[in-house]
Amino acid sequence: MTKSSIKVELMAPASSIDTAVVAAKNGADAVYAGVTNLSMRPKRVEFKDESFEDLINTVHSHGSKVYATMNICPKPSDVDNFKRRVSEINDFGVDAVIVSDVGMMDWIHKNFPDLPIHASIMTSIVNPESAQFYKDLGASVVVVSRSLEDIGGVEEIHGKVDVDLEVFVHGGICYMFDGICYMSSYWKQKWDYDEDLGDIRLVGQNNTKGECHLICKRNCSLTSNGIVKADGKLMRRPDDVGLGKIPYYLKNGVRILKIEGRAMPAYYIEAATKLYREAIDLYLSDPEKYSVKDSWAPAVENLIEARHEYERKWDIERNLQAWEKVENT
Amino acid sequence: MPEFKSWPELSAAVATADILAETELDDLDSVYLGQPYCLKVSGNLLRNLDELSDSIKMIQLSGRRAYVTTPIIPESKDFDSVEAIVSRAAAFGADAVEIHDAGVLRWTRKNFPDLPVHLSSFLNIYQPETAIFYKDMGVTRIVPANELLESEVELIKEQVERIEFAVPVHGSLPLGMAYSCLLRRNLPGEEMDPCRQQCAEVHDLDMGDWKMRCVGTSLVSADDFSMIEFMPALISKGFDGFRLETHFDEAERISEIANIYRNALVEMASRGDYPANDLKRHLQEVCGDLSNGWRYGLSGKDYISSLDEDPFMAAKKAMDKS
Repeated sequence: MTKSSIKVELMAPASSIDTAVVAAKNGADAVYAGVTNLSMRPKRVEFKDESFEDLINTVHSHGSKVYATMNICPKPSDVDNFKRRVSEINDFGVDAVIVSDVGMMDWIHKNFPDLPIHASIMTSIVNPESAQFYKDLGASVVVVSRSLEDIGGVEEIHGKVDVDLEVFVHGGICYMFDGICYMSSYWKQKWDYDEDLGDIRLVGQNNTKGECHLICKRNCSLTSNGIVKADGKLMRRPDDVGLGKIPYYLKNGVRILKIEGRAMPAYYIEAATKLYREAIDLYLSDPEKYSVKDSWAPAVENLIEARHEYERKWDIERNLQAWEKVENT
Repeated sequence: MPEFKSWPELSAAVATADILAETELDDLDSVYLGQPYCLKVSGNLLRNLDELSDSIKMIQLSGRRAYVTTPIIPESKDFDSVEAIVSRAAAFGADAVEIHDAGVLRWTRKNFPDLPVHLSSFLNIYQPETAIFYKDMGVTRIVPANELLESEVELIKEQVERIEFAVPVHGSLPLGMAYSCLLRRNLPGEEMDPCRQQCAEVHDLDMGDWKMRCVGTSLVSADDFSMIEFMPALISKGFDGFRLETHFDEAERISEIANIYRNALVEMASRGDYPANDLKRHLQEVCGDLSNGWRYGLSGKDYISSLDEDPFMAAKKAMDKS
């Protein structure tokens, strides 16, 4: 696959078949969905073996694609399961896999040469050589890091590497570069029973299990010699709202605009997909006249508030409660 | 006495020429030159290339190996610097370059195919096939992911031949690379530019009941990681390199830490045992509290002693109970 060989796509998250259908009905060209234990997110928003086939059939019936997120760094004991699931979802007819582990990417490319690979956000691609590295490895699409300090880096990569680019266009954003953040397991790591594996496993690693404890969203203080120099949510970054960046992205090789939020509820996915579908269509209809419409502002505010509310009520509390439960056993 | 498959190389990281000049090198086999976390650090050898060249020569003349590190995650705008660093390392005969980014790896292999390459833990090598891929690319040494259990590191090592394995035995472990300097964004009165080198002072990011050390563009472990009580096991497994992750340390501290680990190695070699408790106490006097939990199945900030109950058995017991 080379530049512009795929049309511009809006990719939305799917945490269930229902949310996938919501996304497809509201204009998502593709949905991305996690494979159980392999996708950097909690199990409740991942898909087990049989449900992934249902997902693909359902989403395809709505005319959209399904990309399987398998972007953990598998540990040695995860490798066989990883390969089995790749083989299985390839048979189901998945449209691409999103992967970060170099060894697994190489294996997929050699064993399933017709299965498109997207180099995940977890590869932290911030320069053209890195994009070329993953293209050489078999990736047809590379996800450019959402942590680029200089947005001009997208243009630089596009100018030097013949590969389609994918970016996160809306949603929450980490303070650390994706894939090289180890704060969660530094804080807590415990052994817990895994029903799918039928064995105990380590819980708490972000890269290998997607057990992010949202450390960078929390209150903290910056101290020196015991003196507080600053406090608050020092690592929190505002949600990324990419409506204004759509022209830049689409002029610079981005072919897939992706909405973050696999852990988000259906109403959020519906609203975000609808908003970005309208924006992309507006741009494509007349690129020169595109501008961010004032009428989108309430929808953007609602999305940001919904995300924060959801984060407050579910993610942080869920994690804390889960840990308290483990600690009390 | 444990079987010595090979004698591990003891290395330390040194950020600046001033620190190098004052560091006692006798206890070290090699030095990683430069501060990879931030090019703006004052005196960083990675932005003082003449000093870098001199440092390479000085270390090699002392009979040690000189390795040159590279920026951890260089954006396009910084890639010229990377090219200059690697080119200088190659021109002055550095024994290897240390690489943290896939793009830097690709560029280096393409332009300097004969230059030995060490990969850091930032390349996320969690399983054997990833290690094999890098070996086939011509990488000479890898550091398996820090989050791995000791048994998993061992398993990868068993399955991957003809590549050197190095493991950290002491120092600051990286917890995350930030997109932007946390100190300059948060300290009152700070501007993003010019940098006022606030990272020269020790800053902690206090999360309430635990903390991390903030070094500006990244966070590292608040307590030094230490494997001082596990040296016999590490030696018996035949690791090629023991790393002292001393990127943020001054010369005196680097020298003292190196001396403690050298003593452990010498004692192990001469009489098959070493005074682990004494050396641990000495380390605590120099470094304060220690951690090593990732390797034994607890959080990274925990410390597991070799005298403790087997942590895996403890975990299984807890599971059986619940």
